[in-house]
Amino acid sequence: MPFADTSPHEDYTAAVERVAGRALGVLMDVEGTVVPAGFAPADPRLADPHDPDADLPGLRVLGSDAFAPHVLRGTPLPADQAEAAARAFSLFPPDTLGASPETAWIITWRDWATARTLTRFGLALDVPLPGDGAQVADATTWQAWSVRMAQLSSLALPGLDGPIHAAARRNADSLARGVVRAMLRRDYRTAARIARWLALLAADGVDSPLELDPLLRHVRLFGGGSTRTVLDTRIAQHVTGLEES
Amino acid sequence: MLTQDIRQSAPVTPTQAGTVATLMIEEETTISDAPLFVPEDIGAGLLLLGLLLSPKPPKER
Amino acid sequence: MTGGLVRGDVLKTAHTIGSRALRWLQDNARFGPLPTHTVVDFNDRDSAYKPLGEIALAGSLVLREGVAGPGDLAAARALIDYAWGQFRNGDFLYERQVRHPLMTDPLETYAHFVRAGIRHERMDRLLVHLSELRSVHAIEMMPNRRLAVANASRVAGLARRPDWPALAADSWLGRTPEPWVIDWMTAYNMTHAVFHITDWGAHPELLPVEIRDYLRVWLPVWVDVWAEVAQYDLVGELLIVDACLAEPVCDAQGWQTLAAAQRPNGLLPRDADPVDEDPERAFKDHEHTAVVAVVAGTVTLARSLGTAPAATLG
Repeated sequence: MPFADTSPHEDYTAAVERVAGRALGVLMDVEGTVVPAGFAPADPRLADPHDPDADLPGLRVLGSDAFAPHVLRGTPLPADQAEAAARAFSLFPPDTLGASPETAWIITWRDWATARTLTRFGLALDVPLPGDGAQVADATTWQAWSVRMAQLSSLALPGLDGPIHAAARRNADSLARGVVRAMLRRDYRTAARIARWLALLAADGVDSPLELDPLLRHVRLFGGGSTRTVLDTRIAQHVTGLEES
Repeated sequence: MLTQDIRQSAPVTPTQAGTVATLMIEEETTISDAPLFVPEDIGAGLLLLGLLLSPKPPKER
Repeated sequence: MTGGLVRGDVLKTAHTIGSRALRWLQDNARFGPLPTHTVVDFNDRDSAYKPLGEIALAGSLVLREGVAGPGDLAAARALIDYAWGQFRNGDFLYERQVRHPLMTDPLETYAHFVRAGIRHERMDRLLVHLSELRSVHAIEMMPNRRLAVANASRVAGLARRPDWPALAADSWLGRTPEPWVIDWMTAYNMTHAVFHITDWGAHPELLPVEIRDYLRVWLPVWVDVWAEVAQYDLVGELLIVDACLAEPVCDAQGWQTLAAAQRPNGLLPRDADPVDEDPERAFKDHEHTAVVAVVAGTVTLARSLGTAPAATLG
């Protein structure tokens, strides 16, 4: 890891894209990393193939999304992946991320989802206990609420349940409005994340006023070159059981 | 436990940790790119001859 | 999960915006006279013809609903009389319809005067005759335009009954399309389908139930999206749609956006672009938005007060 305290945003984003591509490969049952068709492969200068830690920020950021494909497809998590996950958490412990009080609870919930997902592969992570989810239970506008839910999208996986999920089930229309708002603002990252919740609700049989399949396809075609976004749409599709190319 | 096998890594800086948090939390885009008037709409507007309360095309967009 | 704002706030804001926009129209209508012997050129964005019809529309709705104060009612009446005078007491519309029997804009414009209780005898006879012609009904046009002509015919009292459910089903809204694939022009077209089906909010119950349910979910999203990018004119039209629903679904946010944008003199800019300081230019640029504001304020207030429009539909 570099020591100079310059912003590593570009390097870390590239790491997220690499890890997302690998997860996508697992989900789509393809050997190796998937780079969605038509997207430029990650700039090789950004990834040092000899740095075993280069992907750790990506693993730490994606959390449960990096491992969800193994859960969804029922494939084992390779030992090196499990070890890397643990190292990512030890390199970036939850209490050092420096999130503001307004957002720290989001990280706590995401880490909870990651820990719960890794439990399935026999890996224990020491993460703080999340609260009661009051932040998504307050009365607020559907606009702000749906963005919060986007930030919690890595919780939207089968097998995870809690107060955040209960809030999602109670507010299917707000999620649907939120995803349409994000689509029209052409904020496809946010749209894909909210769609994750709609997919989970669809799998649970909760009625939604939206047809998800064309929306996910649209995000993939219009959403720019983010592998992370494609991963979100593919997880969503897998969760609803809508599988197509 | 796997945690006992962890190799030592260099400690991260606050900026690096903050970047991870930013990428995890991902705020929505600050600027909306919602659809606006495009000159092609004038053509559509002309097809609507006499459409009352149809918009007047803005200038030079 | 709402903005937590009281409906009363909406009504007060709606009334204020509409009333101030109406006065601004009255103060500035002199900038929009119709040249004598005018040839209507829809390529001319400053043509006076369409604005005069729109002013008549706004005035006719203020009179129909009767929820305005005496000053506003007088202003509405004065605006209609002004527009009718500009149309040479209807002769202009009549002559245009004679010259262009297949054009629908004379009928559509005339309907607003009929709504305000003004008739032109020769125009009436002409329209009855034209409405009997198969060619007139066979004109090819966009579904929302077909709804416009159907509503104008209804308001003008023409006997022929269109197949309203079929016309509504043919419109964009009738397909209950993906709400995330809508552009600026389609949004305007969508609003007009609702205006014409309900005759500008007079009959919310005529809106097909699928369309009503669809709008109940998605209309607040569109208001939010276009309010954020300062499309005041379109937001106003969307708020008219809200007032055309049996139960409004939008909170105060859209109205507050318009209230914050309206100038002290009543001018409501159509978007965030600078307003021209020349009052004549400003009138031509923003007249449409004023009409939208008057209609939105009037219909919103009237539906919430539960008043039945004076005019009945045949």
